[in-house]
Amino acid sequence: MIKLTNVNKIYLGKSGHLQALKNVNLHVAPGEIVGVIGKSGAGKSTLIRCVNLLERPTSGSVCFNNIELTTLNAAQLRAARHQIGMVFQHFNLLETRTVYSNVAFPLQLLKKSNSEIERVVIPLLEKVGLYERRDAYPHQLSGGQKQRVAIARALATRPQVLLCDEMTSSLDPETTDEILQLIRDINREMHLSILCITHEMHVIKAIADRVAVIDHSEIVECEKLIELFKNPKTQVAKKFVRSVFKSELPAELQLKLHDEVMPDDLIVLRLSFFGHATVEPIMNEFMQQTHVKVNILQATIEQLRSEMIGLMIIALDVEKAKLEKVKKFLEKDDLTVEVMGYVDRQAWAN
Amino acid sequence: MWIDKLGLISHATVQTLDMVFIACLFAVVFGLPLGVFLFVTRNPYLFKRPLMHSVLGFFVNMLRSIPFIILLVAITPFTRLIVGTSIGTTAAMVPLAISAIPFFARLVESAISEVPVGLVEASLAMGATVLQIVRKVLIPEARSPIIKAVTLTLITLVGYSAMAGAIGGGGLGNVAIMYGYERFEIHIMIMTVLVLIAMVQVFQWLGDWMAKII
Repeated sequence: MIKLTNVNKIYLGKSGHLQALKNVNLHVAPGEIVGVIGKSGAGKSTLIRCVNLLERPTSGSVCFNNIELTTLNAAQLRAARHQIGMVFQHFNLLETRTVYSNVAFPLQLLKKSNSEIERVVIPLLEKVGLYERRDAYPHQLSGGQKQRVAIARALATRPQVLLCDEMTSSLDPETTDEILQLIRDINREMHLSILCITHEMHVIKAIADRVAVIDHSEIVECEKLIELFKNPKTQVAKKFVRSVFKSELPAELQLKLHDEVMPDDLIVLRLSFFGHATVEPIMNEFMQQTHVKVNILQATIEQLRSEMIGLMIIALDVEKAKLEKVKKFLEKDDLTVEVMGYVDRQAWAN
Repeated sequence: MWIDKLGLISHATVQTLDMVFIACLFAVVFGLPLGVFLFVTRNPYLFKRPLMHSVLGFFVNMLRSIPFIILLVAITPFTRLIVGTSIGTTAAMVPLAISAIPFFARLVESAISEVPVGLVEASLAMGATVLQIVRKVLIPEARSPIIKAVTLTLITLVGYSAMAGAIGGGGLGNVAIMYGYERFEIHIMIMTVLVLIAMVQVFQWLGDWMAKII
């Protein structure tokens, strides 16, 4: 659907040049939601603007439906843009137009007749829940309502792709969740491909099928959502995952861990479990069958877009020699075990 | 006697309104596109043409930097060419319009610069042409400050028209000079000033009101 290949963007300034994107490769499959996460200044905004050529890449290819956008003339590009909806952080609604008229705007650009416009706009307003407010002006709406209008407007031309530029960043948490729910519904009902950039892991967690992590102008990781949670490779990715999914011990406990095992040590393990394992009484079975004493230090479970992911940190009172047996017992397809370290029984208590 | 003077003043008032409104009409008809053009030629999203912008900007600044009283005299041949005469209210309209066009254009340019850049971006993303953005986004979204710019232009023109009156342009300025200044008829002077004050107040009030309801 969308395919960026080796995209570079360099801004030439008076004080030298600034590389905003470095060899970016990214694709969005039909019906897929891809999230791009990065800190501010990482190049996210430039990336999403390169998709509909609001920013022209310095080099590289931008394909939409197998059409190379960078070689199109102005009229062809406008035609392609009608197929690519976009929503923004600051909504960008026309203040002098009503809700209805804002949603009608892209259709008016296409010179559609009024009756045709009405046939499209009314169901869209109903879908986003703003039919009753169709005659209101943007300044009379809340942030969440404005974003709903902007979403309806972006969908008016029946695009195949929706670009979301920090669409929830100026909304409160509750409204954010409502908007994300709306995006999920739209994705399912209209089989729309969605590319969404954000700095909030919360957003990614709720809607993305796949995640690209962007750092210093480069995409450093691009994984399925669950894979990123299971195994974030780069420091940035780890930080983002941890922001919604606490997988470390508190610092004080962490300091007491050491790598070399001593006699009389406890073994500290991290268990990550997914899918089926999240609903199984694993610990119970483990303790009954092995008679090993287990101290649960931390446990959490998180709902990702379509799966659950859980994490538990436990301290086991077992000899090092038996560790392999323990691991074998616990490890399954949907449960991975990682040794975090060893801790002295006495030190632990203080 | 009083009736005559009232007739004189009311006739002059009509002349002033005539000059001011016609000149303002020209200012809007030519100044609006000029202002829009000045804006789009410096906006990287729309129609960035730095050279064109600079050249045009230079001419606009040049016209604006000529004091009106000098412009009035300096373009007399041009005025005669256009309207066939260089005295009277019709002749005064030409320099008034010439000075009001760049003035209004700059006001329009600054009014539409206030439209958030995000709206331009969103419109482009929706596949709008530059002309569509100008007609359906920039001008409508800036209509309130544009109305205020018209008000300001009208009020400035009232002042300029009095200057034009001083050198044979007719209207209230002419009456004030001829009767009030040269014949020491102080009450006529006062009356013309009062009419001018009232005129400006009404323009301002109407302009503010329209900018609000539109």
